[in-house]
Amino acid sequence: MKKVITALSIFMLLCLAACGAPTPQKSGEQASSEGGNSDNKSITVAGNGGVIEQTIRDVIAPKFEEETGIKVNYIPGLSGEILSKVELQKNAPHIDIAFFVPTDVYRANEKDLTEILSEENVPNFTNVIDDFVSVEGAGAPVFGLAIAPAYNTESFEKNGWGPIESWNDLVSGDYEGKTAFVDITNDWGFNTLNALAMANGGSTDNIDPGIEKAKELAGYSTTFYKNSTQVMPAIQQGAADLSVLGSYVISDLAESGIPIKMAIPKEGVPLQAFSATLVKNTPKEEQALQFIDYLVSEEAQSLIAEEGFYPVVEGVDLPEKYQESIGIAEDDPTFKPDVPKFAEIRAEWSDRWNKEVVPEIGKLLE
Amino acid sequence: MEAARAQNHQKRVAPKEQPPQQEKRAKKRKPWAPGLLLLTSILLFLFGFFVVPMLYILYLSFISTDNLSGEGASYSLSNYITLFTDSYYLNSLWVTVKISLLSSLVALVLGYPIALTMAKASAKIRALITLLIASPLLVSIVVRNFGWYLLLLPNGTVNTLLMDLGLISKPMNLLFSEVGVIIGLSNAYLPFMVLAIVTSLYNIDPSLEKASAILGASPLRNFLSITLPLSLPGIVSGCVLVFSLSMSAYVTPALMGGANVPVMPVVVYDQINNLLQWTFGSALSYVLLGTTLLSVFLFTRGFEKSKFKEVFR
Repeated sequence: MKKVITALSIFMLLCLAACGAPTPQKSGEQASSEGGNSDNKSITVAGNGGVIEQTIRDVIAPKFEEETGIKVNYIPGLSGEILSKVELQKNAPHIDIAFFVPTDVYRANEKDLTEILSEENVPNFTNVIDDFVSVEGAGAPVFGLAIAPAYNTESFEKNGWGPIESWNDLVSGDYEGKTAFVDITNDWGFNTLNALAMANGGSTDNIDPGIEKAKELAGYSTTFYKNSTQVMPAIQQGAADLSVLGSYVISDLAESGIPIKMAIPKEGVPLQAFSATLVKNTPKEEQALQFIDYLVSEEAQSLIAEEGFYPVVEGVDLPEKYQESIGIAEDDPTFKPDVPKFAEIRAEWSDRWNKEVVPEIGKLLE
Repeated sequence: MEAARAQNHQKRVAPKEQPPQQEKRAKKRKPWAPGLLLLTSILLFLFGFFVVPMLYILYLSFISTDNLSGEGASYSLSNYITLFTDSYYLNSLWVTVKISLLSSLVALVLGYPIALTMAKASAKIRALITLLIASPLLVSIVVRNFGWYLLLLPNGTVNTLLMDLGLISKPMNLLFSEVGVIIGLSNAYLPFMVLAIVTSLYNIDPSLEKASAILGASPLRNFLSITLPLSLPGIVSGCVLVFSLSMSAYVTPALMGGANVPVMPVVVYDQINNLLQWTFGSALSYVLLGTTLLSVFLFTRGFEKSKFKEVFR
């Protein structure tokens, strides 16, 4: 019996040792034959599920394959999950291109998990609008969006509620809990807190005014949604008339017939993008760069804009059908969030939100 | 007499007189060896896909920096100290235990009559009920929760119906509360409770109830003195199953509870996935595991030591 236990212990230790970092590949060496990463005619892209996955799988990838013969394999997942995967596989990556939200682009860059992207290796970068670039050189913005208040136009008109002119207008007993705001774990929630701070004299260095206003917001809310996909049915079912959403979701809901519109408060709305990063040490750097270059081409950006995202390059406009719901005029206030600062303070803000804001939920509702 | 005794003694000591080689072989024969051989595949599977990842998570929980590769890591108990000194995490643990206990209780109250009906029904009816009970397991838990979510919204089917019937004047707060999570969890894990109880009910000798009835016991007395005590092993295993599953449930509390019900698995997910604090998340998950194991141990041990200990033999 002792021998068996010893053998099992050795096996366990070997397995545990295997959990560590994999052996780095020698430069120029091809990837092993595992997974979809074995040939030069395919690349593996990891990114968000839903509309982003659909756009890449059904619209972009077929066009790219037609032009270059390179097949795109897509792995859907959340930005944070993808970052963890990329980190765990950092010496022998199975993912060639990873899509991240802005703070994760920064974190991936800080952890040295991404290759530099510039006009030198991505020629189409010259056309990219700077407002959408999260971290200089770390990723190429692809799916442009704004995080902004969205309201049901019919309900607002019927109830005689005034327009949303400031982020502070989200906080009102008039809406009687008919709001759907997401939790701080989601980027929409995090940006809402930042905007509330800005609207009340705070900043990323002084979150106190934002926390105070967010407590009031919590008081008039039934919850903060842990899952952003729950907000859509709440709006569709008429359970919520006011929310803070990504602009691509607002356009999608408007297209499906919901009377919803994005509001642009006087303090501005943050512009950002889901960005493509080139994973460090990928054996398919050349093919991956080709795909990233295609993603920021006018052709691909026109196709992406058709799905309700803001084009991130000069010379491409948001289609007419989306102008009513999410159009941004020249003089509308927008701003570029301080992504490195966001990444630095995220844990602290989340902690304060959980301990100070969440306990106030529903306290001001009758 | 003396001769017989001597013969017996000789028989008893006979093995000692075996030649040394035979004795060695007999010693080498291991009765557990075939069983172990059969279990090898599952043991390897468990070690590879459960024990090893869990050991890795345990190792991470002692690292005080958030570096998955462990390069330049410093080791300390700081994650555990933060956890046990911060009332937010302790409250989260308490909420998780409370919700899991209540979900087990609701599943027991709903499940026992169903199990009893199944045990007494004909084979056909029993098969039909089994199918009905197990059918929710065929639907993805995410889909099921979205179904509940739409039903329980303030303007959802349940509230609208109750208001139309005049039973309530304003919508009840069924979602985003502990009630919503308990409804979701007890619904999701009801089949485990029913199937555990019904198995122990099948094992009750029907002649016991007959004998008791002949002796004049009423159906209620029969139930309280025979059926219920003898089905305790099923109740205990059902409760342990539902409790353990509820303690580790993520989807239902996240969808039905929102931010209002910060159960531990949701907090762990947020730490690891959103804040990338793997090491602290690992410590939280180990404390959750420890609490579950301790609760289950105390619960089963309590029953095994109670006056009903005989039925657990």
